[in-house]
Amino acid sequence: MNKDTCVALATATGQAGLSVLRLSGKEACEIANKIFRKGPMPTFCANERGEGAFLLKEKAENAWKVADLKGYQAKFGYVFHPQSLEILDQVVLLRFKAPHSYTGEDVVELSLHGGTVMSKRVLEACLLAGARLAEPGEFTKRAFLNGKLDLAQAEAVIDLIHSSSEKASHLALRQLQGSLSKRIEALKAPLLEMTAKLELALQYPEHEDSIIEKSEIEEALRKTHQEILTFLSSYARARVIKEGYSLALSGLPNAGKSSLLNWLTGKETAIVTDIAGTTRDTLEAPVYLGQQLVHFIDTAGLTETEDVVEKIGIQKAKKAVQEAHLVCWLASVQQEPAQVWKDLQENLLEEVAVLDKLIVLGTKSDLSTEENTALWQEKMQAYLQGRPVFVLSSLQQKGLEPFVAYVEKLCQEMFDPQGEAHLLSTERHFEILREMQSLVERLCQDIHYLSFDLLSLGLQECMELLSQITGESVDEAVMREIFTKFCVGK
Amino acid sequence: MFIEDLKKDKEIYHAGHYEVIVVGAGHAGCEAAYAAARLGAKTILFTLSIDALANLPCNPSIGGTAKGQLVREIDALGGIMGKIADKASIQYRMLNRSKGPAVQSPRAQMDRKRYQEEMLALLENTPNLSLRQAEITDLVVEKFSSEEEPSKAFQIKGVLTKMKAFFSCERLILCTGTYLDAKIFIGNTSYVSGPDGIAPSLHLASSLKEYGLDLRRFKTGTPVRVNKNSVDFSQMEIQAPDEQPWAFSFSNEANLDRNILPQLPCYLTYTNEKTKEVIEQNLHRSPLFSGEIEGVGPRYCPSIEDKIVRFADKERHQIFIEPMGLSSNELYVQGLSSSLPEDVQEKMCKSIKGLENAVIQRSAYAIEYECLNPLTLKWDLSSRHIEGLFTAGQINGTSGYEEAAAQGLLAGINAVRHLRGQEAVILGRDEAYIGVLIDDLVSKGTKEPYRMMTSRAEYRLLLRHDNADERLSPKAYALGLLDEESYVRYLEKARLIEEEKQRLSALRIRPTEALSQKLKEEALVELHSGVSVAELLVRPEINYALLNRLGLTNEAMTDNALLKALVEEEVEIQLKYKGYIELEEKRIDRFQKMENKKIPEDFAYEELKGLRTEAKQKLAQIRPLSLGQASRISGVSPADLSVLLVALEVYQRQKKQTES
Repeated sequence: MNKDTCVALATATGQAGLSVLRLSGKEACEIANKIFRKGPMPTFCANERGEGAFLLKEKAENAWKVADLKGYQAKFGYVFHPQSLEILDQVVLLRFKAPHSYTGEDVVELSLHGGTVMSKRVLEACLLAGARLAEPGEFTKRAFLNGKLDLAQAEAVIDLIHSSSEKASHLALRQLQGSLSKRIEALKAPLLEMTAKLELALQYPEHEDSIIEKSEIEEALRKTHQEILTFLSSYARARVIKEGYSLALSGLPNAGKSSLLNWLTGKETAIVTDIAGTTRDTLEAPVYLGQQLVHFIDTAGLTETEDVVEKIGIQKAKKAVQEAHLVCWLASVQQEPAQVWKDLQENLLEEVAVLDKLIVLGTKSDLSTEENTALWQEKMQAYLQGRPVFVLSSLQQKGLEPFVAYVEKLCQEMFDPQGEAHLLSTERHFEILREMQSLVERLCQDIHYLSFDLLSLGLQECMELLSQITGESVDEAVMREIFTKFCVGK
Repeated sequence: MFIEDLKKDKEIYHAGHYEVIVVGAGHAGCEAAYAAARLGAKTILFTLSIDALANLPCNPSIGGTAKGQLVREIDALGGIMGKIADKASIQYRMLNRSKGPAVQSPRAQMDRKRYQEEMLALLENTPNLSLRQAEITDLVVEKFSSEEEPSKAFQIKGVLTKMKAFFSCERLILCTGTYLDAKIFIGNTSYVSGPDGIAPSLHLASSLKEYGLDLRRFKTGTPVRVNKNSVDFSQMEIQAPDEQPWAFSFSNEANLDRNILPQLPCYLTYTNEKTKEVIEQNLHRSPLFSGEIEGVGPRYCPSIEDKIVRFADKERHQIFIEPMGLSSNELYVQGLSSSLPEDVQEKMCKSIKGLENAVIQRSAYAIEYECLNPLTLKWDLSSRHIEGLFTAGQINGTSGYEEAAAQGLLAGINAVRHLRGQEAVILGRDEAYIGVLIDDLVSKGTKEPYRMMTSRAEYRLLLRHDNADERLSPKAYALGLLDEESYVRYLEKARLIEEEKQRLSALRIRPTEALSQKLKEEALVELHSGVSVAELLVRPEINYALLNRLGLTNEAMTDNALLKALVEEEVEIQLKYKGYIELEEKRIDRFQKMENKKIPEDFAYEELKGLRTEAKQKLAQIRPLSLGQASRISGVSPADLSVLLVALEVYQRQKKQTES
């Protein structure tokens, strides 16, 4: 297990009023000692080169030690650079004593005045004093290994570490805070009530109060079934948030798909030549638009071909188009809108119904006049029944903004994590709930001839499945999975 | 007493040496002694009174929900409770018959005297077994030290009787029931006594404390008994016995020549407003409410005053009137358990319909006794503190005859196996109610007298009473517990079940006109295509009675109609519930994975960072053998388990590294 002390900013970077730096591990206090002095900042003094700076007069051994603080005790003081002795910031130091801290280890937190530069310098001071930069999610990983988190929370941490965007990490954070567990508890409550009634009837068959009606159980089951379905349906949206929005670039060969992709990613991701059919496979490039991760998928040009390799490429392209959240049809503005619409219909709309997620991008606008381009856009729009049309030039790198703004807006609309109940985002949870859904369905179907012992078994299994999500019931296989994801003990 | 100190008292004499000594001849003691003797160990069974052997001091019945399953399992393992109960049953009643096979529970009213007589006769004629009436006052031990088990400071060498006879032994099984420092309460009167006026055991408890055993006080109670001639049954509802008697013992279930005692009914009546009034006016006279009784009683077996207080808005409570035996007029008034003074008991009783003129023969009372904290036991029911000591029954914090007998059987088996250096027999939670019972006691402990309930078993669709033989008999035979005759009988039944299943799968029927007509007569859905009879039987509306009417049963299966019915019942359950049995098996697989993750016995929990203090203490005390067992210890959270799993993985890797 990791015994070393790691450090990282515990608050988001950026222009905030305050940022918190966290040191966690056995030597947290010792390291803090090397860069922290209690009391107000010393008065101005020049450095040896005579420049104006706050410098620590001497690096005398400090009689007072951070370790003298009790757990949860704070101290006002300042931080200095351990080599240049430059005084960096006025801070408040807060000590947490193991195991009563977030990570379960000794923790020292420094509250700094915000600002990226200052935070970076204090971080550097910590590193020089012997700390190691924490890996993404390492504090939480340590918390899990020290028994501070339950299973669902630990899984949220894994999601957090691997989250591709801010929204995804937000989703994971909500799970970490227990919003998932709450929703699961709500699902479980009526099942638990039914089980209790049922068990009473089975345990005391001769007792006059122990009567339970099947209709009662059936009602609870049907309600549960409905709720599971709603919950399950949120998985698709959560996946978009977790894995990103996908956008397929489609069009006839040499329509400029690869050029656009290269422009977006700023590097030669796809081979671009003037020869049609250069891209024979789907190419994927993750691009951040604002805070949202969008996967641009460059598909092979769609055209009838005899080339076997190209044929496979086209099949893949069609699949990508089908699965993508948004499909862009690219065509040069030099082509007649009528022809573009015809190509579009033949290649895309015939085989895959994508009209409601289609947009058209007119490429190579540099080859046309501004006037003609506008006209092209107008004509194209008429064909598209209100779907948007944009025009751009990859060569001149012009006209990208309206298109990007449109995609960004779509992503925003797709999900507002703050406004909703917890979304189902982990595959394991999805699988468990799906299993439960089919079980509940079966129970509802069979209920009229199921004896009470079987009903009880069904209810128990449902609750056990739910417990597996929250980790109340521990499954060896799941624990192993978590274990391997964290790579402990190496 | 230390063995070296025996010499100091000149009156002490050595009365004999036994491999196994059993103290207490209640339901636990009888099973323990019988099992030990059956396994060939020279055994002696001590009792305060041979007349009180295998007494049923509370309700005169054996079995009931979950308890009936225990009795069947005891029988399948070669125990005796089921066989004796069959000889003394005066009312067979299968509970939950309509609620599904998994929760069906056999129960029978007993002729109490007959039960004792039959048990005595069996034990007196068991080879290797001696019976002795004596009070055991002291354990005889010697100092013990072992690196593997640092918590053990003493080793059992024998016991001392009140008459100063020293019986030496290799292994000791204590089955002291409710007798240890027992005290009876009726109103403000309390006195030192065992149940039914039998002398208590007054010295042994302090001896146990002396050797560091963790004792505490539990309480239980019993209702009044009334004379049958004074009861007006016409005011009550009758509860008839099952029309078709069955049997607890697998050796009796298909026995056509078996003698069954005459079957008697029970009766049902209710408390009323007046009963409530009497109790409320006299509550202050109950030792339970005045605080005189310190012992903790069972919640699910409350006294009537307890029920009135806790369920104040309930207008009536059920009272069952049960016969105590064929030759006795005494009736057990179930539901009127109380520790109120006798005059209140009298008024209470007479307020009830049908009991207006009842003549009480025995008063209701509460009894308090010493018992052990079962967390100090291992899974084989041996003590963590004294080498060679085993305990079973109420001393382990349980209540109920069946729970006691089940533990007695396992303690008897394991004492002998321990003595011979053989591996302990530990039944899994997925194997038997007995496994659930012992695992619950040892890993969770209990804060009140523990009663077995069907809801405690996670896998009860497989732990049915009807398949207890299938689950346990092969094991029992291999251990030398089950006799050859029983085993052959079991094999024969298993063979018939298998053959019948195969026959039904192979037998296909077509939707002919004649068949359709017959199905129509039965008001059933039509068949549209050919199916096997096995498939047909899965349908909810199809059962063996119908197959019989359609001429689809195998009349040549066996001449024994009882056996044929049993085989058909079993086949029907197995086929009808196949889908759900598979679901249960899947759950068991999951469970097994945790059970199979072993924890080394000397695992250093103290050094494990990240475990909460409570979990650390509990784990270090109980020392679970697997991650599964650890998961059931109260105070060990899932988070603790993940820490433990990670640590185990690291431990295994390090071990592998040092080995290679």
